[in-house]
Amino acid sequence: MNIPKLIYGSRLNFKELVHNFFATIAGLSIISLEFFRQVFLPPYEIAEIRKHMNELGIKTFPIVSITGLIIGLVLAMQSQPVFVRFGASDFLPGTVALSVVRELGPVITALIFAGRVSSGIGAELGSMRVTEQIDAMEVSAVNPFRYLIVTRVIATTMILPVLTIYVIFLAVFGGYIAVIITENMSFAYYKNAVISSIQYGDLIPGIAKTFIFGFIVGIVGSYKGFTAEGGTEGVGKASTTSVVIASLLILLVDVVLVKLTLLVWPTT
Amino acid sequence: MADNLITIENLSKGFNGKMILNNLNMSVFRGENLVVFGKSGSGKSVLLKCIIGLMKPDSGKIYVGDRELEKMNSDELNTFRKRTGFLFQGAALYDSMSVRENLAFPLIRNTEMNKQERDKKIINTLDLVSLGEAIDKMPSELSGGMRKRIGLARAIITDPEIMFYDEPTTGLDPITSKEISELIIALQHRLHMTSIVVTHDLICAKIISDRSIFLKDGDIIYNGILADLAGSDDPFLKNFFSDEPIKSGD
Repeated sequence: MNIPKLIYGSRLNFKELVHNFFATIAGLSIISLEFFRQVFLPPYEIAEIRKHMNELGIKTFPIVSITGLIIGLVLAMQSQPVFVRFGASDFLPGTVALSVVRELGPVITALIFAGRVSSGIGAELGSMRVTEQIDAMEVSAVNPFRYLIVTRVIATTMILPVLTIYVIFLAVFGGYIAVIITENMSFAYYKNAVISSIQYGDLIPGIAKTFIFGFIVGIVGSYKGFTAEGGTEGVGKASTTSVVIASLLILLVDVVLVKLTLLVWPTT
Repeated sequence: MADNLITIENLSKGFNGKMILNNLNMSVFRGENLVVFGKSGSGKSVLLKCIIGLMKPDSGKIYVGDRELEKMNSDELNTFRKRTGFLFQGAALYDSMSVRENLAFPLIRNTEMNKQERDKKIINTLDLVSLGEAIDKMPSELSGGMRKRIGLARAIITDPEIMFYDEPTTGLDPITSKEISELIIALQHRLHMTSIVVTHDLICAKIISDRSIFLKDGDIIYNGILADLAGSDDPFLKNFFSDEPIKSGD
């Protein structure tokens, strides 16, 4: 039985799969090192970074808005009966806020962002690669790595934390909507309960890790797009594998970061 | 040797164990229009990409003047590239940019021109390719012939000394193909460039070529003027340039 074939529906054998896995890890490591080597070198292409940040923000704004509201709404709706049963309704706002700030907000926003943006970058750069636009840039004596990759990775790294903060606010508000459907709780009481339950030890690691998630989304999409080959099929592959790899890396890195956070802030 | 702009010595390049270019030796002389012929997959585009540094040869040396390409650092390579223009087979226009932005792209990064000077240069260059009205169009709004013209305009906008054309007429109808070929030769006369043209379009070659080479099995099997090449007695070359159906065994 060929397990990789069953899972991936491809003709890859196990040896090729392992080879591809390590090749991807090596490729991502090299491109990340190259990013840090080139990010401080001029020209800085500020206009291009600003353009990408605007585009990414606008592109993902509707979907993260809906997601944010629903996370809070569903979380509060699911938790409320349990809290009521134990007579602990007062703890509901804090629980919703803590869950959203520490884990759900950053991770779900990053996953949505990966699905929307990593695939977009993979497809865009992949298409540029197979239509020789990247070669055209290179023969014009323009560094395509700096112009295409560095600008996009900076944009994703900077915009994801902003989106996450927005999602957290919406999710907390969504939680309030769920609460007032069944309970008589004032917005001022809910707000105070939320604020008093959140500490810097919750907020800082939650937001800080979104910079890393944003970097992952940008670097994975860029890597898969930049190395795409084989015409339109290669572009499609770059787009889909970008999402898969970025999402998996976000989840894996999150586990490590949660452990690190607990080491740095053991009391939280 | 004094007139040699590009000299290639024992150039070899292969992919997946198959040699595409095999110990190839050739020179490009200053001011000439060199046409490179060959069947599809014979390594014509690979040759161009090796010369411009987009592909690294497996072995052999490429000299630009008396400087070896392999030994150039990235600044030197960029200096060389600033002296060149490259028209890609599919024009390779930047999809996300308008025609104006496509043409401004190399000017912003490789010249000290201010916006006014750039705009003037863009308009003048578009006039050279007779597409002034397309200045604010996006590449997706252009026909195949228009894309080639804009690609050509972008390639020549920095007044290159050497032009590389990769299949400049492929995919175009015979009339547009002829127009592009005549445009290339007109620009050549006007800007006094050295050109290397990869093609298998005989009409294009007839219009452009000063000298032709023919690639087969990774090496040059003919080097001379086009009239002699087209009239060659070699059965393979005869078949390549013949209108008649291919005979079995050729």
